[in-house]
Amino acid sequence: MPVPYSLKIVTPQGIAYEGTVFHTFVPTENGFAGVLAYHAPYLTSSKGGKLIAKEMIGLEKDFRVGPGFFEIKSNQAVFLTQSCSPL
Amino acid sequence: MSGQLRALKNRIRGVESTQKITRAMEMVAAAKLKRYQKMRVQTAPYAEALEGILDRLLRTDIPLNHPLLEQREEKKSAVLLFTSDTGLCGSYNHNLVEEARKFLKARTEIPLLIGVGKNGMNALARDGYAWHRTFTDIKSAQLETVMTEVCSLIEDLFMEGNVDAVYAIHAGLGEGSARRAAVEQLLPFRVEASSEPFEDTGALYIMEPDRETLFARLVPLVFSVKIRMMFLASLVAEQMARMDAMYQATENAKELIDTLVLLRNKVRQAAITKELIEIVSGSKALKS
Repeated sequence: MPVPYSLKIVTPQGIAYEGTVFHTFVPTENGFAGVLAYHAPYLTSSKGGKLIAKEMIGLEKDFRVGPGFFEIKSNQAVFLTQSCSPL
Repeated sequence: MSGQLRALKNRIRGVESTQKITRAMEMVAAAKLKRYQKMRVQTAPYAEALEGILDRLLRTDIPLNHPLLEQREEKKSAVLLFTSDTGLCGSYNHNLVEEARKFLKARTEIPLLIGVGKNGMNALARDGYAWHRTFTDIKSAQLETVMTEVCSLIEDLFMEGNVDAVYAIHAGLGEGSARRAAVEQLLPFRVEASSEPFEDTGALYIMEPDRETLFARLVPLVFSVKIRMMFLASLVAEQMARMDAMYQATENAKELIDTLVLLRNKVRQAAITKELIEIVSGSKALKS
C-alpha cells in the first residue's frame, strides 16, 4: 500500500490545491520528477507545465502550472508558482 | 423669524445628506479594506514559503551573485511613490507627499519618479517635478497587471543600468497596523538569512539543477512578492485612512446636526412665544 503525503500548490493569489497524495509528477527544470512519500529533502526549480497529483489509485488531478519551485521535506511537499489552473 | 427657521431646516437637511454620504463611503472603504486584507493574507503563505527556500539557500554559503543584488556607486536613482487615486482619506496622501518632498530635497540629483496614484502625481507635478512613469486610475481588475508592470519596470531600469538604486515611499503597516510614511530601499535588493536557529542545514537537501541556478531563479520571485506585499499594504493603509476620515466626518456631521436642531428648536420656540405675546396683547387691547 503506497504511503500518502501532503501536497500544497501555493500561488500569490492563495493556495490553489491542498491535499494528500501518493505520487506527484513534477515538471522540473531538467525534465520530470516523480515524487513518492519519504523522499529525501529535495528542492528544485520548475519551468512550468503539467503537474500530476495522484490522490489514490485511479484518481489523479492535473494542473497547468507556471514556472516556480518544488520542495519536499518530512513528507510535506510544496509547489510554489505564479499561476496554477486545474486541467 | 420664519426665514431663519427655514434656513436652519435646509441646513439640517443638507448636513444629514452629507452624513449619509460619508457613512456610505465609510462602508465602501470597509468593504475594500476587507478585500485587500484578504489578498494580503492569501499572499502570505507564498511569501513565507519563498523566504523559507531563500533562507535554506543562503545557509549553504552560496555566493550572492545576481544582477538585482549588484551594489554600484549611486549616480542615478529612482523613486517609487505610492499614493491614492482619490482623496477624502485624511492625511494619508499629504504625509506621503511630504515624505517624498523631504527625500527629493535631500538628494543632489533628481531621481526618476515612478508614481502609483493620482494624488502624489498631481502634488509633485505642481512642484515642477517630471514623472518618468505613472500608474493612475487603477481598477481592481487591473491590479495584478499593474503590480507586474511596476515590478518589471523597476527591475529593467536597474538591470539595464539606467539607475543604480530604487527607493519606495509608501505607507507601511507597522506594529498594531499603525500607518506611517516610510522610505525603503528596494534595489540593490538585500537578502539575508534569518537570525532564527535552523536545525538542519541546507546541505542535506538535494538541490537541482544547482544552488546557483536556484538562487538566480528565486531572487526575482522574492523581489516581485515584496513589491506585491508593499502594494497591498499601501492599499490597506489607504482604505484604513479613508475609513477613519469618513468615520470622523460622520461623527462631525452628527454633532453639527445636534447643534443645529437645538438652535432650530430655540428659534421655533421664540417664534411661538412671540406669536402668543402678540395674540395676548392684541386681545387685551381689544378688551380695553
